[in-house]
Amino acid sequence: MPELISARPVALMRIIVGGAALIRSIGAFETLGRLREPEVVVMPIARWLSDPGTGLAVLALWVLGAIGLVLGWRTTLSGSALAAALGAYLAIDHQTYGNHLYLMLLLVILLVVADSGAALGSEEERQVATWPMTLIKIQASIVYGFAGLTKLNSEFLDGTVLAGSLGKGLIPVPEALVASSTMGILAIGAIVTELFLATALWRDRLRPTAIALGFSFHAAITLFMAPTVELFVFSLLMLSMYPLFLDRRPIAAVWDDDCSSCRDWIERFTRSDMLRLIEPVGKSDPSHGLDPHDVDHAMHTITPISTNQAFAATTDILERIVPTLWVAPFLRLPLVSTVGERWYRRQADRRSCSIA
Amino acid sequence: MRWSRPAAIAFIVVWLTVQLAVPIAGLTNDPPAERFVWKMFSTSTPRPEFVVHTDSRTESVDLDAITARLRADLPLTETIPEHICQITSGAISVTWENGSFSCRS
Repeated sequence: MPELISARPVALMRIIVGGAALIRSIGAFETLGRLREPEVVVMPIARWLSDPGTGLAVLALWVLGAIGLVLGWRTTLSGSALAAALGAYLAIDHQTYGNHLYLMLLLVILLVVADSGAALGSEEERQVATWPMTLIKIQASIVYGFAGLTKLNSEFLDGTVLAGSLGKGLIPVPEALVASSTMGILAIGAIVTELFLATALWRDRLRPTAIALGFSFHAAITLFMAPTVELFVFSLLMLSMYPLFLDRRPIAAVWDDDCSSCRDWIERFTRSDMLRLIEPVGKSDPSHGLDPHDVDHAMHTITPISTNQAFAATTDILERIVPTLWVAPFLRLPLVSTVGERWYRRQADRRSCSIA
Repeated sequence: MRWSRPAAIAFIVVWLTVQLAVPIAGLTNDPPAERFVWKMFSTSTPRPEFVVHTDSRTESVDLDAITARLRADLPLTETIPEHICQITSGAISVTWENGSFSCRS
């Protein structure tokens, strides 16, 4: 394992985590407001933090830290401020705890340790230590792993828990479905998914499936379960860790550099290549080792594990650029890839080239 | 921020120990812990139903109205009865499935 690695994936994660913290600060403001209402019970953990003034200071620190993290401004300071605010918020009252907030606190600490400062905007490739990124990836596996293992109980396996949780979110679930044996099947599916994600994100060949499954899983819990905002924040935090699992070896995108519309496409791709994982190689550059006539017909990608062309090559690229990396693995599904291949051929046939 | 090799190794060891030991210890406790163990939507804890008794009436308590954020792992029976007594005029007692609390004690 190299000791240093590009800071880009962790910088992207920093922006997403900072954004999630900003979104969640609204809920924290509401909860602290509720705790000041006379009819609402307080269950203080650290009494000295229960003072209303302290609550406001915590929120101010939270918002400023989150903004600093998004902007990449003095990330050690911003991240430390946000971590302190989250730690204090969790210690104010028993009612302020949330697994997503605990996860946010852990990730912010790791982002500070990872030196996740500005890296996406600069052309210069900033390098950071590998070990904090590995810790972040292990943290993702720990969360998925324990989340799956704790569901191995009869109440969850027979679908009772899901029946009581599904349909309370943005999208209702028909009563008939909730009452049926479908819940038991869904319950087993949820456990298998979480345990699969804990391990498969680490494996090159399984990663596209894991990313697609992880995205679907988080979309489903956010849409079908409650509380929506908290589940959305949790999903953002988990999905923010996925880019760290991507293979850091760039792929070569071999394209027809005689073709102006191909140039437009490759420029579009490279503009979105925040993680610097795409290396465009013109057909005229002999270093790619492919037959130039093949490249005339379709773009090719040379990845560490395979060489692909046409729509499969486009999928390779989309799996490495932002924001498509979380959804592009769906393009590998049989029917989708067939339709995609046809779409690619139509685009290729209609392309305008400066040199025929 | 540059970390020396021993400091980095110490951080990694402490981090992983805590992140693995806390959930394992929490889940093997009796009863199992609900916090810091990544136990999410894995069991359904029935919420206790509190009933407040006054001189003139008996009514059930809307927990959503008197909590900031209702979670299954809150110490409800330790905190809620006394609070209900404080906010309900003329309250004599609060009862729930497995217990009761006298507001005049």
